[in-house]
Amino acid sequence: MFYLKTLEKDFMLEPKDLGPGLKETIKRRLTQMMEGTLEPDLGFVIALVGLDDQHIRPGRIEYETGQVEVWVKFTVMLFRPFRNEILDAQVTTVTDMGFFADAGPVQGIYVNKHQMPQDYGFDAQDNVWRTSDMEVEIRPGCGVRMRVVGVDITPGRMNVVGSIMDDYTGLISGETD
Amino acid sequence: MADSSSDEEVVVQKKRTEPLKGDEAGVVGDGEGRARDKDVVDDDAEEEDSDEEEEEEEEAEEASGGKARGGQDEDEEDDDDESDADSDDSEADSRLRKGGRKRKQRREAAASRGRAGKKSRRRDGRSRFLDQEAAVGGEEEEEEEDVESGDELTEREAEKLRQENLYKPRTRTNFEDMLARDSDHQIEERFRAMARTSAHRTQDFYEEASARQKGVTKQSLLPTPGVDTCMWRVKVKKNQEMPMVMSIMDMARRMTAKKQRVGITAAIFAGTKGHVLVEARNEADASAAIRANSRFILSQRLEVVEYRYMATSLAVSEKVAPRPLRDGQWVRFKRGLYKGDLARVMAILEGGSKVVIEMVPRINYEDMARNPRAGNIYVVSAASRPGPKFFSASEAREHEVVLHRGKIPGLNMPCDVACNLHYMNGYLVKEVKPESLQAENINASVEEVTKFGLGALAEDDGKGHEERLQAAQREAEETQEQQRKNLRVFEQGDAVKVVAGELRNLVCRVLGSDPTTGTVSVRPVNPNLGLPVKIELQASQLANHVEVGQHVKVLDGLFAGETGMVQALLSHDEHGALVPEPIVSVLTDGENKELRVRLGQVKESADVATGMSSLSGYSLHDMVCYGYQRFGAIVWLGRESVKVLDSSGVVQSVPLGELQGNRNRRSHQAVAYDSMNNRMQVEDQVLVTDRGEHFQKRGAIKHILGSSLWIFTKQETRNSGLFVVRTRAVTLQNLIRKNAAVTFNALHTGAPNPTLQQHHGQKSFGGGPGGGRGGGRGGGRFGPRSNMDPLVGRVVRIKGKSEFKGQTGKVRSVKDNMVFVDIESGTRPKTVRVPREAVAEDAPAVGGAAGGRAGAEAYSLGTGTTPAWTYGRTPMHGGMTPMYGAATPMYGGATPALHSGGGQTPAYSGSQTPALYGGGGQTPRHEGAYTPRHEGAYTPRHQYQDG
Repeated sequence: MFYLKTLEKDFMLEPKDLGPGLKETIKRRLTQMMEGTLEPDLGFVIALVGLDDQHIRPGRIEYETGQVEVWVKFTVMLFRPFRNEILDAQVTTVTDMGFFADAGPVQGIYVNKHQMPQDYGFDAQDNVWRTSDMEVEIRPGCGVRMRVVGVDITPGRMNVVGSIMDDYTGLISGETD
Repeated sequence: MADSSSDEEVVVQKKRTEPLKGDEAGVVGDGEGRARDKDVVDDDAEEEDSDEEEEEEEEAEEASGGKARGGQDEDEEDDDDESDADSDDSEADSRLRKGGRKRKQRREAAASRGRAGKKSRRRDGRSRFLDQEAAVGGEEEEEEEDVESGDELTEREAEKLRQENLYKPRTRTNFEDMLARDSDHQIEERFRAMARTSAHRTQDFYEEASARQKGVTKQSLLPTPGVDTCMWRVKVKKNQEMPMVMSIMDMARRMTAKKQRVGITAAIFAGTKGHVLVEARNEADASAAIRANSRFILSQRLEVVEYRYMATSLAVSEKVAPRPLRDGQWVRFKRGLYKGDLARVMAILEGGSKVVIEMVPRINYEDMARNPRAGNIYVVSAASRPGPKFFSASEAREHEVVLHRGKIPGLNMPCDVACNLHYMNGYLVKEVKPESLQAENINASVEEVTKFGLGALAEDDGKGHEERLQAAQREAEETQEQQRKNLRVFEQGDAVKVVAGELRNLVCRVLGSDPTTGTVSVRPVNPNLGLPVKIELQASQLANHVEVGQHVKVLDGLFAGETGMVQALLSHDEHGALVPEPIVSVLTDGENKELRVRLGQVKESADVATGMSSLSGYSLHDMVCYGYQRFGAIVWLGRESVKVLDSSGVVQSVPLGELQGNRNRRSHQAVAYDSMNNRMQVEDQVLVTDRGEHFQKRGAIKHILGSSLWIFTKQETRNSGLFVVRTRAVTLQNLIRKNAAVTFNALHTGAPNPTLQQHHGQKSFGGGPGGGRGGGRGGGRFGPRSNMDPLVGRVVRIKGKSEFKGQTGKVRSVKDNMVFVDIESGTRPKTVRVPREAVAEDAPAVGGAAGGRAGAEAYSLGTGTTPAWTYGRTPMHGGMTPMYGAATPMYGGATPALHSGGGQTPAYSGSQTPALYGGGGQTPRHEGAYTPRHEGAYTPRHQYQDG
């Protein structure tokens, strides 16, 4: 799920950044710093969407380094799967225990064989999961709709477990490169 | 004051001139024994008369009690011989013969002792209460132990101990039991008699004992400081507690015989291993007694037992009688060939003194064929222990094992007999003594039980085995249920689920538990249910609770210590049978294997297991050298060998002895170049771009050796997640995040997010080149910082031996060789100081994305130590063109002429070769070696060659 959240942050501005257009620099620096990171408990920061000028406090110069500590309050768009959320993802790897899929920044979402309907079977030769009626094949590259059954965020990594047991979940598109 | 000199003899300086007062002499010192109980006298006489008989009795007892084996754990001794149940007869014979020899020796010794020996023993008899008192804290085995350890002593000591053991039948009786028998007038009489001689101390003891019996502890009976004797604790050698006590008592007898004063009043082994308590009036007496027996002790130091702890130090530990075995119960072998193996009770014979069990045999048909008596003398070293395997008659015949049909003794069931062992339905059926079996805390895992049952199905025609299997599983489940009830200890913070009662299925957190009452106080996780914040529940009403996706640690069983993520909670086992306790499927952290454990065995935990994966200095994924200059990464660690993935991608098993040390350092210092000529190091993220077995796999470089890369990926299930590729088959992937974000958007909305497009798409043309190695050493996020360490602002992972190992954080500042890192994990952010060597850049973090955007600055300022052409990859193929174009200015920077030409900015060069620009592009050609036209087409490598 994408969502917006207002965060506060102290960060260091280097002396070389000081000069005309300081607020722009701060915005740029903040963008550089935040986007793409995994915030504990919140998820991946997708984009900085709002930073008002009045939410930048005057900085404080650090004695030793000459860096400026700036406090800002800003809004970011975050992405994080929540439990029971329906999520589309692209299959990356198929193993005999299940398959891994990526949904944007969330990589390696794992769908265990126990989280697949009973009629799925693993074909070791083709390395695909296939339904018994041979109609559905899950192979690397295809799109899968799944329900998120567990999310565990550790520093620097988000572990997500998905399930395609429910109705209307499972394969949604064939291989796309 | 008794002083001592030598090891064995007690030399008393001052001879006693007058008889001791009762309380002074205490129990030990009751040497004179004037007022002697008639009962005791009678006993004594009897003992004298039936000297030989008693000795024989004792021998018999010894024989049945167990062979004396020195240096073994006392608990084991009793059952030791019984484990080899099949060899009962022959061993018993030999033991009897041994016993016979011993007895003979003893008779000789007794003869030489003559009258004097008997006399001394007579005194022993008088103070037999000592034995009893001293033995209160001990248990049966401990008493027996002196027999065992006697072997280690000198012959003389052994002789002494044998004398002491004459009274063993008496001391065997539990003292508490004796007290409990109200009707036992004799005992009461005895105590009254004692009271006359030993004055109030014994009286007190008696009263205290009877008070205890009534469940009342009288404060007044507790020792009073200054009035009662003191107690000292001394450390003794392992298993030497009872010999020590015996020796002290012997010494006391000797001294009283010589009418010397005995300073100590009691020597007690109260059940605490390695400690003996000595009671005396003053420390000098106690230490004299200790020194006289210094061969048993570890340290001369005496530790005073405070008065208030005296009672507790003498407390008798309650011994719970082992629960009788039942039919169909799961058991484990305590030792021998089958040590630790799961077995099932088939029948109980002779009122529980023998049981028939079935188990999966550990057999070797070749041995059996070679030696028809193999079954009986089958003793194997741990190394050559055959694996468990179901017996197959046909297979046995193939190996020419002598087979015949027979019947299981005691059960009258038909079976195969080979090498005197009985096999039925593939199981080995054996008659054993219950002592050789462990019946409690079996912890049979699901796998074990299933394997046990499956073998039967595979081996047999299947008739009736379905039932058997089910019964076995039921049994295992019951055992597990039992264990859950008995053993589950809930700790504060544990997640639990109510399994019984009105609140069933409520998920709670444990606030605390009271082990005495078995109640656990919990707090419901969901505060909106209108329930009280704190609820008291019985431990039996609660069960462990984990959720899918949670990170857990396995607490016990086969996989104890492993950690991983919960994949699924299964209420049915592999055969579709409902299990009482859900099975948790866990994907392990280290090697991507799936474990199946019981819910009760796991606990929520953030730990990542490392302990399981090391073997004599080698750990999983280590780069090792073996054989003649061969290298590979460890992918599996066994007991005596490791599996190594070599540079050609082949897995080999290498015995531990052949490993020649790890080459991790060499690998970590190595540098390789990918298909785009990017510089790669260990820990960098790469994507396999060459079509082949590993095409499109993504992972982190674990090792670099020559032109091979060992790459680790979570998504690879074989070889602990490692695979090997050539360096040129991969592409550095440190811009992974940005890349992902774009694809992600495309997948969802079909059109890139405008914000992202602005940042990633358009800008990346300029930004591409600057990205650096995900913020590696090159790209410089913010251009050059003459004084700023390039590490500052980077996200790093702390490695090495620091307590913060494994944590990630942003580098705040760098001073000299120390790095200050703001750790984000944990409950509170904090800044830690670690040496520079102990940090590694956390590749997929901030650096990549940030660097990408700062690219324009980066190259224009000439910081790119990493060649600028590294980064074109980002927007996939679209990005390729600008890449080369973007490279141009950098060279331009080197050749001023290009700048003066001015025809090129990255934006222009993106799609057009400079040559088209005519004048601007042409200029340099006249001036220097570079032809801009070529720049667009040539790979950077050529550039180098040209220049």
